[in-house]
Amino acid sequence: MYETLEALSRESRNRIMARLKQTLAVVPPPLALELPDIVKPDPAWGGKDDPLSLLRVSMMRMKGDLTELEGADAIPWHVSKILEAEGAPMEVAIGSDEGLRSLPWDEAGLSVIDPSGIASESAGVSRALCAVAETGSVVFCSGSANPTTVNFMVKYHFAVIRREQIVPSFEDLWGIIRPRYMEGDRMRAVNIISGPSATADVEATLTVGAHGPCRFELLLIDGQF
Amino acid sequence: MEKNEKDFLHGASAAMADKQLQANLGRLMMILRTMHSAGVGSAANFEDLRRCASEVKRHTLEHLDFYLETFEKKVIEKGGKVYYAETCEDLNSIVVEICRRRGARIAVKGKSMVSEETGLNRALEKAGIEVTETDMGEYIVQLAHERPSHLVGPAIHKNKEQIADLFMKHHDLGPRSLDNIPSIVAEGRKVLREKFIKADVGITGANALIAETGSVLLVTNEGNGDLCSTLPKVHIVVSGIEKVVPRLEDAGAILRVLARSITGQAMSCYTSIFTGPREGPEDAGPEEFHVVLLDNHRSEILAGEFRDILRCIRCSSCMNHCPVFGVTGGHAYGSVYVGPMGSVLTPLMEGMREAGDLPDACCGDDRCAEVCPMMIPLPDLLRRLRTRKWNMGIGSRPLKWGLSAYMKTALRPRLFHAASGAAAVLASMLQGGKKRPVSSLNRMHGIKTHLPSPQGKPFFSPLGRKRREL
Repeated sequence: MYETLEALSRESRNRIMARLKQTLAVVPPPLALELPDIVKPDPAWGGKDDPLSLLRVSMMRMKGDLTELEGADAIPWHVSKILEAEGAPMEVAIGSDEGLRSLPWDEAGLSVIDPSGIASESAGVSRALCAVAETGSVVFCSGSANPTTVNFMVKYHFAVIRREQIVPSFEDLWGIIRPRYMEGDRMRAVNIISGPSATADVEATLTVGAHGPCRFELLLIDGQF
Repeated sequence: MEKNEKDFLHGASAAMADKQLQANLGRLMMILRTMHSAGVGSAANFEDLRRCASEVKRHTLEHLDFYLETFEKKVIEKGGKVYYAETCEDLNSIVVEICRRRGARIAVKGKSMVSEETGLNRALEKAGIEVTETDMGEYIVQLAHERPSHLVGPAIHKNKEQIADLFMKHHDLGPRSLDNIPSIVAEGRKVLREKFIKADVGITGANALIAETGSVLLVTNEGNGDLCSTLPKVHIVVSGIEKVVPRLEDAGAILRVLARSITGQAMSCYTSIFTGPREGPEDAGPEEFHVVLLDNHRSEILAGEFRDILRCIRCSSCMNHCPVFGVTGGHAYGSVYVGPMGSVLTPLMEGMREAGDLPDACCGDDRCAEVCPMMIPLPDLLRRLRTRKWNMGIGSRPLKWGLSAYMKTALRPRLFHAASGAAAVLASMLQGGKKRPVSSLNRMHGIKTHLPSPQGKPFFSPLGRKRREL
């Protein structure tokens, strides 16, 4: 009936838009003035804690782990200890992030693999943008330095941020990512991750480890990194 | 969009006779209601959050044309493509054509109600494209050739033994034991991981479309949506036109009430914002990014007296608190959208003659309106649909006779009081003053219920006496 899907889409668009414009009043932009002020949740518990304690509680609620480390050099040793305890292969997938790659992985008995080599039992380490104390979420931005594949394909996922990258509430996140969008940084994928993957699809029983990581741990680093 | 079963009453009878469904559904409903109250309780100002989210959506719908155009412009600016589909068939043809152009043979799908609405899977299979659902529950019902029975727990009508049998039959993995839930989930993970890696195309829905950045917001707990949108070379998003919101903050306002209303969490495990295709050969992610927007009567609904239903964010709160849905489950509705929101949406999309029985699946307790995070007046909308149906003269003859007889009596107070008094005496005589199973209900719908015997005097007569005494 239609020569191409573009033609089909165009015809549909014309009819849909015609109906909408017939129904809706024509109001010249800017319309944002009419939008309501965004309301933040007023926590019924623990809201007055400092961001770090709040983050700890919220991450625990989402079945994620949080570990404070003195410096970045402690990361490989910590990861190695966990992987050994889990009986996992002693290798970590890391993107092209120089800061992460240059840590003393060899000394801790770990080999670094490229994200393209992730297998079903692999572990991965990636650098995050920030962590949201109130919801226990860690936010990542895609790119070759820390590719999205590390966030979703590994079995054990370790995220790294500096202590000052904790923000109190979810709404603070928009203040961090909007300027980047505005400056033309596309950020193909922004992943807001709250705990390990989970499903309750079999007999309504929560099972940790669905398609994404089975273990999710945030490593907090002091000082420069 | 199609409606399988003959009508709601037959579907409901079958559901109530299904012991497995009754046990699992009862359990799920109890869990979801408990989690819902925990989620609502975790914010002292939940009412304000609800008001904020509904206000955002109300505003957007009032200027839907403007925000759709803005969204479209931004997606194109960032290297993606936008298509419009007026009907379900249009959407299916567009998606199939995108796949054909890439020579795609294998597709993986994240959970998407819009794709259920259009019957996309069948269209893809007809075009020779293998399609696999990747949400654990959706995958299970796909293997069983069934429909999802609940928005959040699609396979909730099955027990773990039935699921293990399905996996044994469909997965060629040799002898193994699947006698506990973690082993079943682990096998699902393993089999589906292979599919993700092999797939040429990933198809997902959207929880919101963000106009200012041209982004698509997607929420999951399993992480399947993210694998669908990261690993295959093509990512196709299918969404209704009503999903657009102006800014990042506005999507946030919806997120604030969404997870709390579904599972009681402050945030689901995975919330992702996708903007365009991969940024270069070094980046992970798809080479092509397409967004297909479906109308399917939404623009007509927007113009009429049911606009409020377009605020729906598919959280499933209304059905989780609906006493009718609580005993019938989703299959009885015979439609993609079920429970109170489905009983409003389905007749509007398919027509009163096709789905006019759904607005009757309501006991009028108004819980759905109390829990709806988008403040949709569901009971009012259902009443309006029942009125519309009455005015159109649709319905079974006995029902119409009964209702008009009732109307004629109820409009004459003396006659009404006399008749209700007589009915109470008659019912009491018939039951012999004892609690007894009501046999006609029992025969018709498999319901075993004991109604108390009427006590001889209708409610109005002591009330009337009291009033005279005053």
